[in-house]
Amino acid sequence: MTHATFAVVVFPGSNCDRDCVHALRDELQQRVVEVWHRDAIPANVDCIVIPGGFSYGDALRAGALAALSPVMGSVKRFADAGAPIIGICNGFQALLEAKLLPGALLRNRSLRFRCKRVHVRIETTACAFTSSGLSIHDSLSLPIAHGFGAYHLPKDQLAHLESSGQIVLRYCDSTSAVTDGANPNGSVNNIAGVMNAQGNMLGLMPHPERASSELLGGADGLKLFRAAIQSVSNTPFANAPADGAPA
Amino acid sequence: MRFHVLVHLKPDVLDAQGQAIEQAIHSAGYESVHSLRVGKSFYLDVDADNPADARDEIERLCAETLCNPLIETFTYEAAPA
Amino acid sequence: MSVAVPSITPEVIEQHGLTSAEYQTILDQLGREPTIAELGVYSVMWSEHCSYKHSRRHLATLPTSGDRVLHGPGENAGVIDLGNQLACVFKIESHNHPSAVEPHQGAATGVGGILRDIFAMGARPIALLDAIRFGPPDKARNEWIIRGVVNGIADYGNCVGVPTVGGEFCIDDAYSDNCLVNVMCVGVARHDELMTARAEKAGDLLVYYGGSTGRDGVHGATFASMELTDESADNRSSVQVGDPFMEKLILESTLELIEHNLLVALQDMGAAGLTCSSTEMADKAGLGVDLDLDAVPQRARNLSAYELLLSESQERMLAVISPDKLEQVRAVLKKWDLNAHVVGATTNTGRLVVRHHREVEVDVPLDSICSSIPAPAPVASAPPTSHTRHFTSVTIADKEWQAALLDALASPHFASKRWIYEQYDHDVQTNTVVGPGAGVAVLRLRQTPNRFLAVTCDGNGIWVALDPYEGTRALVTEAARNLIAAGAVPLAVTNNLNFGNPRDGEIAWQFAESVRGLADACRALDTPVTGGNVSFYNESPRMAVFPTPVIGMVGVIEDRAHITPASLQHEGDALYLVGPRATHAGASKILRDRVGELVGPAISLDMDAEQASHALVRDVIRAGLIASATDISEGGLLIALAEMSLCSPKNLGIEISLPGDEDTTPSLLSEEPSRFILACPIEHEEALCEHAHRAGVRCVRLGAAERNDFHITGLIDLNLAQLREPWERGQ
Repeated sequence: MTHATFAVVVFPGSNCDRDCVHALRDELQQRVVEVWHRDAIPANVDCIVIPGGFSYGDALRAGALAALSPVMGSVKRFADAGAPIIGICNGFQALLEAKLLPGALLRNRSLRFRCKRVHVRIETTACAFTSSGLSIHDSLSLPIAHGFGAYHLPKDQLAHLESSGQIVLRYCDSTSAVTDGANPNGSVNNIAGVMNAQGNMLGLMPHPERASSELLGGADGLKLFRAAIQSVSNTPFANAPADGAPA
Repeated sequence: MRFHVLVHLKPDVLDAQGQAIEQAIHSAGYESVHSLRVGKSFYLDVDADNPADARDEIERLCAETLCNPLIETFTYEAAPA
Repeated sequence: MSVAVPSITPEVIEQHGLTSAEYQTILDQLGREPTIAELGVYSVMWSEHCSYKHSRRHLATLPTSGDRVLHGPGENAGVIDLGNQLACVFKIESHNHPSAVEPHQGAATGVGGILRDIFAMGARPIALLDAIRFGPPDKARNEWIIRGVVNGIADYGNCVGVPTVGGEFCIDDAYSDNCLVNVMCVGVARHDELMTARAEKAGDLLVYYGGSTGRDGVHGATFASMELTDESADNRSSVQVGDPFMEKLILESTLELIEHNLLVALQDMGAAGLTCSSTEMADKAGLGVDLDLDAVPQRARNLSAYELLLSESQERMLAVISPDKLEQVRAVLKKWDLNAHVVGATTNTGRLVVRHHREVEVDVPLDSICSSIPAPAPVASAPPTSHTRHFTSVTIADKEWQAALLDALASPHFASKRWIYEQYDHDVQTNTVVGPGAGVAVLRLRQTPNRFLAVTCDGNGIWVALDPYEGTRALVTEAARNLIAAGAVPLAVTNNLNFGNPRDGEIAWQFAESVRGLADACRALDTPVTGGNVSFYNESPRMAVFPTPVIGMVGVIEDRAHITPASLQHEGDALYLVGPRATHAGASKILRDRVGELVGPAISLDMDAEQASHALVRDVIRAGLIASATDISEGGLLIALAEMSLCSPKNLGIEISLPGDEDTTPSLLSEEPSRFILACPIEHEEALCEHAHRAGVRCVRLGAAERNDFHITGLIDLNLAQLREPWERGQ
């Protein structure tokens, strides 16, 4: 088993941080450090998780105030250095608000918070979190739990995102078909997860850390983390300057 | 100086909440009401030497934080103290 | 004082919910007229909500101790031992009156309050359950309340990150004027992390942290102890507003303070706010309290001593700490952007002394407000004169059963609750092994591998209205049956007793009988009562609610292999009915909804038969003979079979015939206790029957699980799509 060191960032109001730590440490036997939002990511970290929750109580916009936190500067430096970074649910919202990923998330079309299991389809393997153990059009069963999950991008930018291959996951049905009925929140083009142009940063609404054990109804979520661990051991990114954050 | 800032979803972005409210008030008999949009309202004080500086500060705050320019627009005006 | 002081007239005394006899006691104890602030303190501390003055005589009869009980009633929540140095902390509480006035905030703050009770004990809350009851949603006001309550629960629980894993949703006209919103929370702590609400010595500091104090909820506790009248809809200033983000901050900071061993005692400022929390902690240790109200963080201007003492602003904690720990306490709170406000100290005077703007506003003996509460004259209990006056005997003709089933499934009471529980985050914390939609929630305990917590809450107003003693006994066993069917061993009970005006003779009788039933059943099942809540005055000028005790029960599952789903798992599994013969369909919810009145007779419980069924089901689950199990309760065999089918992950239905020795209506609708349906793989049928034979428990083969069909010989012939359509539509 390959090993990586994960940082799980904690904001006031994060509530999936402990779940991410558990999935990585206890289910995947990885090293995990929790990083308080006022601190920088330690230099020995390989991968970063921005977990879900209600950072700052979703005041202003979901993720908007987390995006202003001091830790986000060091997240950006790790991103530029190529470290795998995953933003889950509220963490995805924070990465969008920090403009580290393209797009925005609107209130669910139904106006309701929705917590259920959905299927998502892998759209690319050029992402650090899908680059091994997964194939295009594989489907994963993952839980969602959000009130602001309708992915939005103006038409022209959406066309660019589609053509650049940055869409990583789409909501689909149990046969991997991308249908309106399988779209739980009104996301444009059924988009459930997107990545940056380099492919090392993934933002997604579903919660892979919750699909971490057969006991909880499935362990598909671990596949995304495993791919990231694999990608780190294949091509360790240039990290670890002495000051605690990669240049 | 005191300001009042309003933030709304852009006209081409679906305002699901506004749409739901409009439907509900139509069925409650307010049929002449339409084009309803929900927004956020902020009152704030700015310490500045002159109005132009204050407005610059407000513009920057709105563009960078109070409003997400991808989906929202803002307006602001001086408000009585 | 700068503000005009209202003088204490008989009218003011009555507005404070105090009788003239109670006021006389205050005069006697003080030897002078109280200040208005003192009157307010007595009023909230002597309200039913804080003092249990009408109920404690009865509650004293409940069994509260046992091998596993670490803390019984009297703490913020009950605590039981789960083994391995782990403890389960749990409690249920009502927020009925606030929810009727402002459904969203009423329900949200109900969730907030019960969460604080749990983490004030040092436990991390791991699950919420809600037992909620409303009038039919075809009335606009009921619909508004239902949406608001569901939304309030969702907004609060989701934000704090505690999963809402189960509960009950009941629709009945009996709750049209008074909804019931009962919230249960379960937490887990290591034994060495457990906290108490008991101060230790004089000279310790009272530290306030969390949200600031406003006028909200001034007199909420007395408000909760009065009947709702039309005017109370205008009484909105009494309703508190919740801030789940602040709750999350005080939750995490509290657990961190406890982890660093910085606190002596802790209580949340809930009902009756600063007054209740400070005095209760001191009184338990025989101490006194000095409070300086100028140190209380305030969000409104010109708050009076009266308002500061009685405010029920949410998300506020009061800790007793040793003075030498203050700097460390400040540091932990600062990390979470919170401040420590030293608002007072414990003393050895035995008095509550409150200063505001340097003037003494309150100076009263602590025991006079906390422990020597005058007991009201007992109400002459008056059993209803004719027990059978509402009873109608109803049967359903053979050709009507199919329509009757489809109608029931389309009713909001029996329809799928997916529209509700999908709005609740039921997966956060990743412990939810069995979530909402089943009768029982099953949670893994990360700290102990292969050990699970099973939790349920159950109420049934119809059963209790027909016979408060038998109905409540049946209810306790129903909660136990839920746990046993899931593979758990029931351990302990918390309860929420929702009744009308206790000064009414018939209601006093219902309450006494119900508590007697609760005590007897809990004693027989060895499930002690570790805490709970009493909510009286759930009535309007038109009517009182059904007497509605709600039982929250916690159990443990000792092996993963014992976790047993209620839904059908394998095609061809044999379906067995276990337990006594159905004799009548009295108390049936389906009949009640069809004819619009209570249908008797009441159900009654044979505790020996009940325990024999429990033992059998427990044994056959442990022997690995059973694929699915559910008990028969509300809606009878008919609804139990429909739910086993509708929730089947493999789209399995049933092909059965009813037992030959039962009449059709009781057979399908009886809600009599002690009965289960078991799905048994055919290779284990013989062993199951042998176990049943040896145990002397009736065990009847009904038929088998069939793909896609729902078929009861001679009565119902449907496929699962036909069954599902009204069930999903009715939500």
